Amino acid sequence: MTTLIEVLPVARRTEVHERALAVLARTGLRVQSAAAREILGAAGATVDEGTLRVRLPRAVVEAALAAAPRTFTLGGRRPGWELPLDASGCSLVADGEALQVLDAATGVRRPATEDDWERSTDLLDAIEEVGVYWRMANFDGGDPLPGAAVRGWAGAFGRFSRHVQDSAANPDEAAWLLEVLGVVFGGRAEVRRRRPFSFLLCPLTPLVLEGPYTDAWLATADWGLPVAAMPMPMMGLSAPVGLLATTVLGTAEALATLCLVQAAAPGTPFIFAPALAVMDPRSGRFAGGAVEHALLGAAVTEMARFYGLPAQASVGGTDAHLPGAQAGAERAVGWLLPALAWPDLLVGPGLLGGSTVLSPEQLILDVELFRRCRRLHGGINGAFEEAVEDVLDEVGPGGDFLARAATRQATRGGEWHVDRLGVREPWERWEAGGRPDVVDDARRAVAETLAGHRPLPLDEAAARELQHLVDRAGAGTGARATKGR
Amino acid sequence: MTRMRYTASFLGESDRERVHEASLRILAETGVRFHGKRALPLLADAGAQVDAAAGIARIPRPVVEAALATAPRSFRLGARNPAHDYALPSPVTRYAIDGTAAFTIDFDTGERRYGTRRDTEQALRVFQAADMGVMAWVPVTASDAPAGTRALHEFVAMVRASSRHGQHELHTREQVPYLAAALAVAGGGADAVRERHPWSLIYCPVAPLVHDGPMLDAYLDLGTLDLPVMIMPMPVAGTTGPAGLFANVALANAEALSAIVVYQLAHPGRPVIYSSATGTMDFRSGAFLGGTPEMGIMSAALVTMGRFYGLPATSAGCTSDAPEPGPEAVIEKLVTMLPPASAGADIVVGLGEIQGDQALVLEQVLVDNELAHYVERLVEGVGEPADPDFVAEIAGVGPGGNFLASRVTGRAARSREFLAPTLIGRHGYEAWRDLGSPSMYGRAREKVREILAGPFVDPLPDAVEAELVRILAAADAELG
Repeated sequence: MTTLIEVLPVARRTEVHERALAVLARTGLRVQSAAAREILGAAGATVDEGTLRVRLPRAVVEAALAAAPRTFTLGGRRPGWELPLDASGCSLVADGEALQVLDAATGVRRPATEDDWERSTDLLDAIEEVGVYWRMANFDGGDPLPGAAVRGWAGAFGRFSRHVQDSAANPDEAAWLLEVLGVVFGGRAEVRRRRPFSFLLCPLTPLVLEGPYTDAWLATADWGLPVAAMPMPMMGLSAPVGLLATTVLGTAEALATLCLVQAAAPGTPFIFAPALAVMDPRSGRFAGGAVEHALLGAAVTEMARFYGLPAQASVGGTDAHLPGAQAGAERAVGWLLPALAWPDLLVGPGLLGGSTVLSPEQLILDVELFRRCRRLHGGINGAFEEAVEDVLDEVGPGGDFLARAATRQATRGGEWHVDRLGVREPWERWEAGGRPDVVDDARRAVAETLAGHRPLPLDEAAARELQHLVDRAGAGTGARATKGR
Repeated sequence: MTRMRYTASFLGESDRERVHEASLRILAETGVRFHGKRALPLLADAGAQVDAAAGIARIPRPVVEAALATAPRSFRLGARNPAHDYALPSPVTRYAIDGTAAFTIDFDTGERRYGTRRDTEQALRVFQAADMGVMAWVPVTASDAPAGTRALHEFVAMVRASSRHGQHELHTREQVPYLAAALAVAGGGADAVRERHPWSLIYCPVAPLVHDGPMLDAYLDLGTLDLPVMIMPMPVAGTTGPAGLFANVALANAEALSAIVVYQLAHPGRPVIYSSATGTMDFRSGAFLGGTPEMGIMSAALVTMGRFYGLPATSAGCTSDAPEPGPEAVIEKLVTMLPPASAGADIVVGLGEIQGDQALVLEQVLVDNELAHYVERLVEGVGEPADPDFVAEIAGVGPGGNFLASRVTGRAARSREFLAPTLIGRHGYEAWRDLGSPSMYGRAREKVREILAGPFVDPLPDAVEAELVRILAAADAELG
């Protein structure tokens, strides 16, 4: 059987839902987009134009939940590749937007460069477990001009062949995004069909839908891009204290996003993705490695299942500044419960220092840990069982099982997780080999993976047109918004 | 605050029945080989079908059921210092230090060398400071003690260095009178030892389905002191156990039941603790692996079986095959800790060692204690809200506000809502760099240094110490 855990019993999930509804109806949200207020008002919300406050009654939330599809697939550029979001599998989303990079060879932390971004993207593309791309290295410091965003999307689609998840900051950027999607995938109909891109929509916590950002999504609404709603309430700072209260607030904010999305474009694929976070009570900083993230990541997954929506779980990260014991411990603690809760998407490997520092070695280590978590979730499933009584009768007291055919089959068939990193030799051989450690292994794996990886090429015409778009955006020319629509 | 534990299931209800029924068939049809003098006659008298030439007893269902009926459901593991008594079953998971490694990573030189009694003393002094620990075990074999009395020297070294409940092993019947005398001296008399159970025995059947003679006979002899027995089968999936995890779980369970039967036949009502230490084979080399996800889920499944029988349920866990302390060690330890703790184990056995339970590392005892706190925080779950009316609190703060100044936040920051790590650091990069780039193992190392430089906790009275020296000298003279 599959290993199952439950951090929120069913009655507690109902309570979270009911209290989230109370927050939406009583406190409501500040919705800074006039278009969004109009859409929500038309759907039945109470709108106060003076304070920009929008209160959402139960019926609006229930209609939105009814309109959202229960399962769908994410696509990508690679032919034949798709990721079903139906609670059957769990895929990694790379952690994103590190401003710094840890240079493994020197141990020096330095600002991220474009080269770091390209290498990390190639590395992600080479790791099958990473189904969804986030930009790992922020090398342009969040350049607000569209040229940077367009170059980023062109690079992402050029180098990463599975699904890309990202945002546009405003309607102008959104128009560029649609142009890029149109060029790479051959137009809106094909994008709707394949879903190669999902729009990450993060309400500002607590309870604010920002203006230009919300308008950016609205500008893409008729392209059918799946939306991942990722509010980020931080317990003690932007959320009330208490894991339950933080879960309620994150749920309320995700439901509010769902209401807008389904009111604007009914049937839009929607991913329930609150990234519930924890403050370090001693410093007020984000405590990336805090153990409570694991409970929150599992709780989000369980709430998504409660709604019958695909789940994207975020689980903090590590506060350690180097790959090593603390990073390993915090990542293992952070992932074990959410991985056993089995979200469709799990964020995210590869960053250190409270998700601010990219480490390719840590990415490799985290992916190996994810493989072990996946084995734990697989549980004691009986896939390789013979009648144990008959087997023991055959082997008898004091015998061994080494030479049996069933042992050979199980070793190749997944009953054992075959680790790809780490030391398994006896002490003497390990010592004779210069006492390699797992971080050395990871460093080697990074080099070998990059050396052996060839990104799936774009077709030549698309690559040319994409470069033309990059040049145009870089020159400050406006996007052809109408073409996108 | 009322806590709401999360629930985890590693073996569903029908699967528990399947494991139980398969185990009963194994015991009745394949049978179990018992070496030694005492077990087979007990089994034959109880109705088992005994093949004396092969040393195999086939144990029918009613004999197993009778043993399960007499094994106590609850008892207290006493401690030399009663403040450390630990009642079984427990609503929380606590930890034992790992035992009987061959090697120590020397604290001063970093070299790997054979273990000594002094290593046991130092490790147990560190373990005494590990607040998640409840059960001592002799962490390394004493290469500096005579072979014939080594287990006695190790046992006494543990009794000296730890005032917590302690478990260890004995190898021969000849050692029994000396251990009984030593425990009576240290425990305030044989009656007090029988009454309070401050020490217990660790017993590992030999997989598949074999019981060692001298050890089993010695343990049965010690039934007169009512020493509890932790029964820890160790089948390795693929070598000494079948490759499928389900089958390996059933084999471990059958072995545990066979031991329970013998101990209960000899001394009905003697406390037994259900446990396991499964492993998997590294099929690239045939070597034993203990730090794997498969070990974690088998341990959790077997804890579930212990609970199925209503017995105190424990398992190995917090195990690692890493050659040195570091990221591999902590990842493997967490992967093998969380499943049995999630299944509700009373005790997880494994603090302080790496290299497949073969090397003691003093810093690792404290690192693992920190990991145990993390696991406990997970198992405690989401919990009740810190402020029952937090919807009103959210309304008060409103969209775009913050909760930093809320009284509830201030209160919760000092509560268990936020776990405050002691070895894991949360400094920002610049502060961390300015502090000299501290690490969790570095902090643990400093703490170990402090503990070893500090006073000996709960030392034995001089008169008891002198008597223990005398008993060991007598044992050395006769057996050493």
